[in-house]
Amino acid sequence: MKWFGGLVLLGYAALTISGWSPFTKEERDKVPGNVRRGPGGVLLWTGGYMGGK
Amino acid sequence: MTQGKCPSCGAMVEFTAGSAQVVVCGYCQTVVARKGLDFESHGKIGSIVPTDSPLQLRAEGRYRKAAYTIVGHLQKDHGAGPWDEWYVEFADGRTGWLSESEGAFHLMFDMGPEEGVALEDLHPGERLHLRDRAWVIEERGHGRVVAAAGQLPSDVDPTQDAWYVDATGPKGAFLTLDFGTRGHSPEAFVGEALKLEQLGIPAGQLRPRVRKVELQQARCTQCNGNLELRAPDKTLRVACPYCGALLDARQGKLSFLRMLQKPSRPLIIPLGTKGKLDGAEWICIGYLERSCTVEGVRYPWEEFLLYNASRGFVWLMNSNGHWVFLKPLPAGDVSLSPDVAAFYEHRRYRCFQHVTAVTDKVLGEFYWTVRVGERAEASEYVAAPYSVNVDATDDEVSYTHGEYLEPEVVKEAFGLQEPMPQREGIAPSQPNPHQSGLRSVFVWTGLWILALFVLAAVLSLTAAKTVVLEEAVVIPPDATPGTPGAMHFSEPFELPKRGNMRVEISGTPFNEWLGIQGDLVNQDTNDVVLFYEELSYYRGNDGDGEWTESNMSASTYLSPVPAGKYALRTTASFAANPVRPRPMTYRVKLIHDTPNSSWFCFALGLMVVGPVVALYRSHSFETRRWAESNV
Repeated sequence: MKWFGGLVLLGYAALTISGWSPFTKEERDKVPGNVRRGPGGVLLWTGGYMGGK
Repeated sequence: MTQGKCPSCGAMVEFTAGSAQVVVCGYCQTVVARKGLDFESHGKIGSIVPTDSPLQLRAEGRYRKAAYTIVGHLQKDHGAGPWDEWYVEFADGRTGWLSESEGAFHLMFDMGPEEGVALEDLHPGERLHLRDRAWVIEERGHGRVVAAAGQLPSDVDPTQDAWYVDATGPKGAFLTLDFGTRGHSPEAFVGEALKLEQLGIPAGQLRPRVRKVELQQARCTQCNGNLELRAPDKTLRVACPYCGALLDARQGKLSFLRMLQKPSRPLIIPLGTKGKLDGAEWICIGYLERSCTVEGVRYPWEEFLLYNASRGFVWLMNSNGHWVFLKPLPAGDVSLSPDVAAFYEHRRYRCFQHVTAVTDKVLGEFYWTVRVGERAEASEYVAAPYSVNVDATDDEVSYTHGEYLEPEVVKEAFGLQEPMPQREGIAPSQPNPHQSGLRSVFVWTGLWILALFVLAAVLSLTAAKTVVLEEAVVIPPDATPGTPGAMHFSEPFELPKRGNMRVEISGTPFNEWLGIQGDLVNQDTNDVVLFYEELSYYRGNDGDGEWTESNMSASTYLSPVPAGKYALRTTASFAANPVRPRPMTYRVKLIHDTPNSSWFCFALGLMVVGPVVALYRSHSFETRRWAESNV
């Protein structure tokens, strides 16, 4: 326990500082290049919908 | 001082002690009593047999600053060898008795008769309350005065078999009830246990301690084997290691009693082996094999009798490879709740077992008249690594205090060459190996948890925790789920640095579900982080009454995204309802660079794994230990 607790603490610090969230269902993707922009330069991307039941 | 001539032999006898009524003639062993100014003979008494006692007549000592002189000497016997009692007279006129047993001394004072106490009501092991004190009866016995010397307070009758009861109280207190030949109203003698040095007798007035009885036959009467007695002054029984003959050893003679079965294998600690334990050098002089039978199963164990001239006798017990060092203990020092617990020196000992112990095999020398087949009710109370053991027979109860020893300690102490027997199972007083580290585990865990809280606080305080987006989104009633009509684009927002993102979504759907697809779009790089959360609320009635199921808010963490300009696109999905009465709304909140509390909980969980495992192992050890208890 003398060292284990220290390892846990280091792990906690590393994960918290990195912000890594491995257990969420997030996905990473890219908006296609041909998407137009709306007011304020917002990409008016209407594709890529994945959610719902 | 009164002087005169012995009525029997004419030798000079004198009374120096004012309290003395009789004096034993040093020449002819006549008991001379004073009758006014005359002396008269009261018959003869046996001569004192030399023993290992360091005391002698006319020795002067000091007890609690009061000077005294040893003026008389009695030897009593109940068939198992004599013991010494010394009559002492103090300078202030008080008188007392110094008795000896197995190297311990008891200075006792006559407290007068104890009315209403009957011999048949007193049994070893029982407790009684006398003279404002609690006592534990250790022995009930009888004996005759077989020899005397010097001056005595009353006549001695060698034909009288007198009964006595010995009891001990706390802190060395000692009580003897002398019933004489009566069965009631004994004379009470109260005193305390003292070490030789506490008697205040100058070394020059003590007899040399090592004074061996000259055994006429130091050879076995059966096989003529050389016995080499190691404690001849104390020994009452000898079991020949060569042929197994049990011999009686009294007054310098060995006499055959019976043949015994010898141990089937060599002794782990051979007789005569010397070893250092508990700060003293011991010699192994005797061996017993004892056993108990529980539910038809015989459980044997070995006991090695160890002797040291100044410390007396102790035991080393071996049971299934587990060793316990046992020292005699005054019963009065132990507060006992039979078959429940014992209390000794601020420690509670829990009752582990109560068995009938039988002596099966004997070898070597013993200070009591050991018999094969001897039975004793044995109880063991444990507070690992210590134990309090109570052995009770009809006439005597003896208490011992045990300490568990690692086999290697015994091996090293006695310089044994053979490997020690493997330990089997768990011994009653075996230290719990998992308990010793328990405290350390808890201390370290506490420290690390404290550090974890401190670190979490620091990380929380230094995190930006910036709310970069917080808005309410309205879904028109005519919107089709999952289509651009159910989509919403937020105003762009800036993330000044790389960091993670906490997403919080809340809403108030009514009897329906609402799924929110979120797309965090980097306006510069076209990178998208997608997430999906669902809200729901249902209410209804059934046979059990009203029920509700709700999930009105949801949150998630997104892994770090780089600095840059972002916008959030949300797309709502829900059960299509063409007659939806009103628009649905939900709120979205994005918090940038915020510590994930899940990691804190995870770390906290890992931290307590150690103590939980340590507790489990410790508890499991104790469970296995106490599974063997028969109480």
